Amino acid sequence: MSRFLTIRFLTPWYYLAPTILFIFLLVLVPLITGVSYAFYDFDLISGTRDFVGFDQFSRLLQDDKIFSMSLINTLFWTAASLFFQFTFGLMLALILNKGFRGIRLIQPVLFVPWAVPSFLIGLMWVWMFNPVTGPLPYLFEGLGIMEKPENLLSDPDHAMWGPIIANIWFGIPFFAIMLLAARRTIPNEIYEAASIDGISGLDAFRHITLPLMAPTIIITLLVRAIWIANFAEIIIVMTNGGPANSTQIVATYIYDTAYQKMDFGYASVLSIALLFLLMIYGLTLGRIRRKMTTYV
Amino acid sequence: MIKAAVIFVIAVLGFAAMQAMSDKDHDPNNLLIVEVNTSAERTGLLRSQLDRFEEDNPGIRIDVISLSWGQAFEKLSMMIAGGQVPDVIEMPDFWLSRYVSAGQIADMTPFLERTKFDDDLEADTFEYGSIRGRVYTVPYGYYLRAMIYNKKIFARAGIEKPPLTMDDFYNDAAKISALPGTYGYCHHGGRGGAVFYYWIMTTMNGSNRFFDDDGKSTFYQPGAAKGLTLIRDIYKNGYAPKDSLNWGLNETVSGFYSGTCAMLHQTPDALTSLRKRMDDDDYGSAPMPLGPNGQSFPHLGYIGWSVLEGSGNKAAAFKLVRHLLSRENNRAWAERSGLVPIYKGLSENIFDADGIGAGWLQTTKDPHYQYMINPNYLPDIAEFDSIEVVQSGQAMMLGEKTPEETAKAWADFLTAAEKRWEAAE
Amino acid sequence: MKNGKYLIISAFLLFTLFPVFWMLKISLTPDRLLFSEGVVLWPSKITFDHYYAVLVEGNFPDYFLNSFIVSATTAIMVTIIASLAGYALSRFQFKGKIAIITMLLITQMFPIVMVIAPIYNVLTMINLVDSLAGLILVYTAFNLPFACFLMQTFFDGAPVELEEAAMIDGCTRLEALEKITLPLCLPGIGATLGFVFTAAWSELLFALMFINRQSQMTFPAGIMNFVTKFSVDWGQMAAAMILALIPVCIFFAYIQKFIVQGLTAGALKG
Repeated sequence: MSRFLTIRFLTPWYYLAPTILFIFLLVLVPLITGVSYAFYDFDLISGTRDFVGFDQFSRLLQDDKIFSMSLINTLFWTAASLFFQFTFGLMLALILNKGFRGIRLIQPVLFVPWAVPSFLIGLMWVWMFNPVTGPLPYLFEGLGIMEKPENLLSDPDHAMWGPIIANIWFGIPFFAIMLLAARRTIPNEIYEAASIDGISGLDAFRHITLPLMAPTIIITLLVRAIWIANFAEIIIVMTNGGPANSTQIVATYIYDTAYQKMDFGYASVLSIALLFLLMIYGLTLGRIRRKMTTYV
Repeated sequence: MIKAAVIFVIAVLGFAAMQAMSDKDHDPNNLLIVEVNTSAERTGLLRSQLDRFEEDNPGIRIDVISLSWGQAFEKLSMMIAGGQVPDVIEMPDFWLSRYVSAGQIADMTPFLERTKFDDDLEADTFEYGSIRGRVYTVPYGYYLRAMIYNKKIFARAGIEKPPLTMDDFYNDAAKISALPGTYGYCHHGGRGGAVFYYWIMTTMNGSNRFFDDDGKSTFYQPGAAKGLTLIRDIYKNGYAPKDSLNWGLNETVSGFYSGTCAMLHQTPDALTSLRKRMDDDDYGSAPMPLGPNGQSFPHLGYIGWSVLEGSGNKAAAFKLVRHLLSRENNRAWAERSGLVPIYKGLSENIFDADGIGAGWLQTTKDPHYQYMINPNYLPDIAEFDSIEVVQSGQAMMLGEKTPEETAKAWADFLTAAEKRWEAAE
Repeated sequence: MKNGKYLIISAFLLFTLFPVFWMLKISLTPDRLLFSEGVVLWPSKITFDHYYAVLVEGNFPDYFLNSFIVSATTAIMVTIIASLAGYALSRFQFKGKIAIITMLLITQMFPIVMVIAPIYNVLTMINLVDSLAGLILVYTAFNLPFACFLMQTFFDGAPVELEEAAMIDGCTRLEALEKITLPLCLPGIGATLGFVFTAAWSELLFALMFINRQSQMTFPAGIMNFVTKFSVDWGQMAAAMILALIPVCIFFAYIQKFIVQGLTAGALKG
């Protein structure tokens, strides 16, 4: 009996051991080291570190204008990217689910952006936005959005849309795949039954599709929002946070602080602040999800 | 299936373990040199010069690590922090004080005192790489700024000569910008653009000094704000492309060869990439425009070779630096990269008086032009140049801050940094 | 309505393919025409020089091989290890489960930039910096959390009853897993392989920071070599990029239906 118990007690840990080992050594230990930088005045080149306690945290709270600015930018960057990725991703998923001629060929093509390395996405779109080499300024001019064919990325009021458009291009396939899978789980019988009751088209979408997909939608949005908030590469390549910090998000600010200013201590403080905010967000969404699933 | 999977995982881990055990040679006769301003052609030349050194010094083997410019600073500092210390590194001027104050760079002074360098080095060659009187790096060439201009566009705008004075600069920019789709000046508003602001501020001030006798920044002087106003107006009036606000080196150069803008404030090594894409007759160079007192202070930057304090074989490393800087090697090096060489009398070989190099040749000879050297000894200068100046410069160009406020903010920063530097002595 | 569907699909196709087409155009445009011709849909003359330079003169075949080794090994490693963990998370109720899940989640929330320097130190310590093996280990660790969650969903989707029946018939748990459950999860395994392979194939930051020698570079890091201080060799870069897209696209075209199938199976139950 006791032997049976120990085995039952230990078994999951055998399966989990390799994962835990990898994550502990290569993610958690570095993470804890990284967090500890927050309490030190840390110089990478000389290797000196002086303990400063919470000094760097009070610097963040008291006089860091760039941080509050980049926080607002992060919100905008994440919300706008997420909104369009999700909307278009959902649209695409529903169409793919219906099926059409040539879908076998077209579906993989539509998923291609997902496989493009993110910094290449940035470079590609920089090229597209450039009035000397790219078509977009002329398109914007033709559509009447711009008076002259100019580079969107140089306009501090709208520059953020550049990386956002690139990010939408990149992110649609992810949502499409996730949502397509979720949509396929809804049995057709439900729609058949509903159509007997005279519910179809948009009504069916609102009363059947959306509620039944809600759990997947929410978890995907949750995970993706965190991922996008941390996703700096496209912005670094396209605008480097400029002009005049107008596209600086917290993640790019952290990158600058760590690798341009070589101020790893403060970069770590910024990361902890971001982590903290994301955790609050995650917990809130998690709670909402639980409520919704019990409700549905 | 599970068995195969287990074998696979063990095999991969075993392979990694084998790699980990393999002794990456710590033989002091193996030198490691890191280049940071990498291009494929130059790496070839470097390798051939290193091969020569290996031949002359049997037993020594040299490995090269070529970092690409964009990430070189991060990568090099991580290598050093991680204990993978190279013997010789390529050292841009604005990194020097960071590394020296961190105690990473070996003092070359004793070695240079013992060694005979040809005595026809340019006057201040050792001076440039010195901090508090000790030499930490010896430049391999000078990145001197001049104005490259597009002859075709100038002709179309009805301008005969490149700008001689600051007023010419402004007026030419205005005239060229009247042409459709063309701008006067390729503004370098992104990372690396600080030296243009410094040039225009010191030139309008009429002195190439950054600090007065009391250690106060010269950017407090009215000329500095006037200089910033001038470039702000060029941008505000549309004489520079709108997106140049965020341009880095690459974009200014491609803006120039694409014919978007007609004047480019650049170092001569940019010519190598212009040659590939433009006809030689279509562009030329001139010295930087003169300020109100008839002088101009083009920026002189350098990149050199430094030996690391943690090198396992400093003697060989010094010798290698000496070898790379021999007259013959320096000539080939400067020619290939298009730099002002460190030996006297070599410039004529590289810059043709009546060709594209005219601007640089004249700058080195004509007393109206004095070099402006950044206060590279200040440990804060790299960060200030690459972040502060870029961000606040952009804010100024966009009209969020006035030139006066901007000049004062920079002066405040520099004065404080200078005070800290003096206090540390 | 029917036409509307095709209109929307065409719009999606245009949006997806146009930037890729533009890169293709750039890769075929001779350097001198790139800027002088202005913005045109197709250059007046095309050249394959850039492709020649990338494939024959440069180190790109090496980069591709390195990338392939790293991505494939990582994908297989992660899928195996994550299958075990996912199985445990799906089939067992145990103390500490919440803690494990929280740990996995938190690793996803931290900006990668912060851990680069510490990981570099770990790799130096175990002498695996500047080597493909080191890169594989790091990629494995960083792709595990998401893969564990994925695999957990797939196992949730496979019925426990069959497995229990097999165990009552005398199979050990591992045998039951191998004979009954794994075959049911094949699409899911394919999906995980696909996710991880793509992620590893396109990862840049670690590859850039941890690899110095040309001979060990993966393709995204190698492509940065086209960016020198003064100029970007756009033509060659575009050519390299188009070439790099080909293997991923083929792989992806093959694997994407498993991804959808796998995710569907997983979600059905969960």
